[in-house]
Amino acid sequence: MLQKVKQNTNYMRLDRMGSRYPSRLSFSRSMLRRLVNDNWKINKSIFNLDKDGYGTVVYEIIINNETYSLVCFSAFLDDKDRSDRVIASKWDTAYTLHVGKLSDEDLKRLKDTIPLQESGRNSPNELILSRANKSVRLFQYVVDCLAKGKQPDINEINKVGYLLRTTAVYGSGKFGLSDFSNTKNTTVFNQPFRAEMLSVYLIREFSVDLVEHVAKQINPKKAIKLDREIKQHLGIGNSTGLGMAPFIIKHPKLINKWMSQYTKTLNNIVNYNVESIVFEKYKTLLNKALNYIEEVITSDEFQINKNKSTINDLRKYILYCKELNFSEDLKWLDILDYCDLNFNNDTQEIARVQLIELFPQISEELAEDMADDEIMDIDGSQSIGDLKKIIDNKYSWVKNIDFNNKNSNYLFWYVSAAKLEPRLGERYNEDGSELEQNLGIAKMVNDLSNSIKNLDEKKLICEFLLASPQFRGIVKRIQSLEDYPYSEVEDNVLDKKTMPIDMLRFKLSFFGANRYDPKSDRWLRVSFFSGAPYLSDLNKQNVDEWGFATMHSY
Amino acid sequence: MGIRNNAFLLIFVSYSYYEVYTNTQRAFSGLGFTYGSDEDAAFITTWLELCHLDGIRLLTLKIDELDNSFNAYIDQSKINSEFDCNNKSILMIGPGLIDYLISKIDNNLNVTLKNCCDPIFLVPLLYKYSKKNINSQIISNQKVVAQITNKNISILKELISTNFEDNIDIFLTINNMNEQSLEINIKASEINKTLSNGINPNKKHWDQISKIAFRTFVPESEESRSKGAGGGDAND
Repeated sequence: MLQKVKQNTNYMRLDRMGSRYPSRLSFSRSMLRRLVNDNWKINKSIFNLDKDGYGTVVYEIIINNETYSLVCFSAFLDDKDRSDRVIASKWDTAYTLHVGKLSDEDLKRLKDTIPLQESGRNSPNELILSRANKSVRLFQYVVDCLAKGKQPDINEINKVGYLLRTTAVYGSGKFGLSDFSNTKNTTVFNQPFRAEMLSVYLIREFSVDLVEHVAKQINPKKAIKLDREIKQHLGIGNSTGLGMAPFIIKHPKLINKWMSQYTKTLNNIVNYNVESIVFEKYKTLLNKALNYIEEVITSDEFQINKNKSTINDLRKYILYCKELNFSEDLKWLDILDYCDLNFNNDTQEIARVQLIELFPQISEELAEDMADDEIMDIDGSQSIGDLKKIIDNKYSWVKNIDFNNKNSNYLFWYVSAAKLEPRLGERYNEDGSELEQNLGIAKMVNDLSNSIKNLDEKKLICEFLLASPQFRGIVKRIQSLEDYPYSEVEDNVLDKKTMPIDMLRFKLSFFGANRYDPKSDRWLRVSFFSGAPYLSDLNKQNVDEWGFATMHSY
Repeated sequence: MGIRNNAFLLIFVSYSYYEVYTNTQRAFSGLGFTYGSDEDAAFITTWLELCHLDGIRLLTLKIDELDNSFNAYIDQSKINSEFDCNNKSILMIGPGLIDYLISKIDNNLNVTLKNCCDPIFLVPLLYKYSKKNINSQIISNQKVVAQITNKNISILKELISTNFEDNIDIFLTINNMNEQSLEINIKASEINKTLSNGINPNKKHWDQISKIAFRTFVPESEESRSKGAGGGDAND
């Protein structure tokens, strides 16, 4: 019988979710593979920037005879107006991914609406809406260097990691954009966040075009372009807040799908015998990850200590691998089991994602199947007894939570009237808890359990719900997710000690974000595509070689 | 590629399914619907709007009646071969009632609903079950006013009302039904194609719903702004 990765690994506990890393399954990676393998053609169809870099640039993308246009608008922004918050109303740059070749009428319409972001209206012909601000620390420094004919210092690049930082990348029906169900059926972007990742990748391309253009305008004779290795180390920044946490709870089937593909990949790998050539590559990849973590810069004390602990554990794991005398029947499972028993969550995750790198034939097909229908329905003919069994099996973790303790019901998640910014409040200290979102799954399961514990086991759910319609939401969820093992965050997200950033990191890892730089327990900055080749250099040989890139990777 | 050829639509403000569903779900929550019931009612409204059956307009006609009077409780002993809706909206009691009736189907089931003022809201619920091969008809005065199968939805215009006065019969069956052609005929396979053009509710009605939805947002305060999102304004 095939064995699986240690069965008691609880991937859906918050501390584990907060220790994830990008992998070959991540959306940035799979999008770039499609771009190369399907020979997407991308060129600048409009480059109309003034001497200060303000104006319009359009990248035209041709995929299997279909045309898409990434439209970039750049405008002056006063420093005092530059903010990463959702509540900001002006940005340095704004973007949309439009379906089709851009007409003059389209461009005029988009010019009016896209810079407005949430306040504007889009059509189903737009797939993505985004904006980005310049890194005040890095953008001008790079302009000055290039204008003087000098390359910027890669150490300075590494301190920030990007020239532009997106503060939102909207898709899936927001603000009039195409619904994902429509996008999936009518465009080539049939995987979740694929259109988003293409947009982000091209915004990175634009960031370099922009900085080089401005430098040249300052000093046309002397200005130079960025060297490839410096350019490649630049990612595109992203500033992310609490919105990602509700997403995870509101899309349980989708989250389950992502995690199922991840565990399926691992479970297909771990029963292979360890071959020496492959094992040598594995050690190289572990060292690459170690170099990356040693190089990552963050100002957050918690993350600094976490990284230190990971560096310590990863070194030990690498040493273990180095000294391992492996027999012919040694399996990858044995190695991962050792890692799980001895090292921290981050090291366990690195051990896994770097192992996945070695088996593209397993992961790549699964990476092309990351969507799921999100329908949840009530099964009225189920008995109360059967519902109790699901709760006992799937939600056994809820029983460990004492809801009589005020701290277990301390936080509340809500949407602010200020531009609908997702926020987190303290129930006993702040107003607004009566408007909390229904995200406290553990509390709702607990309340339901108390309500049905003395009911006749044979009573039907539909009969119970006629008398207690207030439980329709949680009953629907429990029934619908019975066979979805990774659909729930198996922690109480209302608890005082909850660190929302764990959920953010979980989602970001599937996006493919790296260089995690928390700014508090509620928001962080990351980079996308750091180390990835630019369009002019991208090919089948290097498209998957850039994970855990460091300053010395190029 | 339908979405390529709809430039003419761009002069109108269109909304996505996501927006219509989210806005109506918030509106129902703002009206006092509990978790789950708000989602059921949002599905009903959005599905009708997607099918050009006036979901948003019909909801605006119900606002005064529904506001802060949510009560989806049903006494099970009162459901027999007939059930008196007592003019409680199907938006409130419909989901629980239909779930219950479906659980009682052997081959066929016929139930008379008395005082059901807005049976149009049954159509999306019955459509959902048609996907599980339970076909249905809504009959009024011995006339089929709606037939829902997994292939077609056929409706008489008189059903699109929130003041329906006659009793209705709901006929549910696991057997096939002969397709009927009524005044409005919608192919199930065509429903999602509407998304290519977006959904275009009347602005006045949309604004009314949005105003109710706004009740679910916590008012801005300095404390909430500084602590709630955790986001600083670090400009670097």
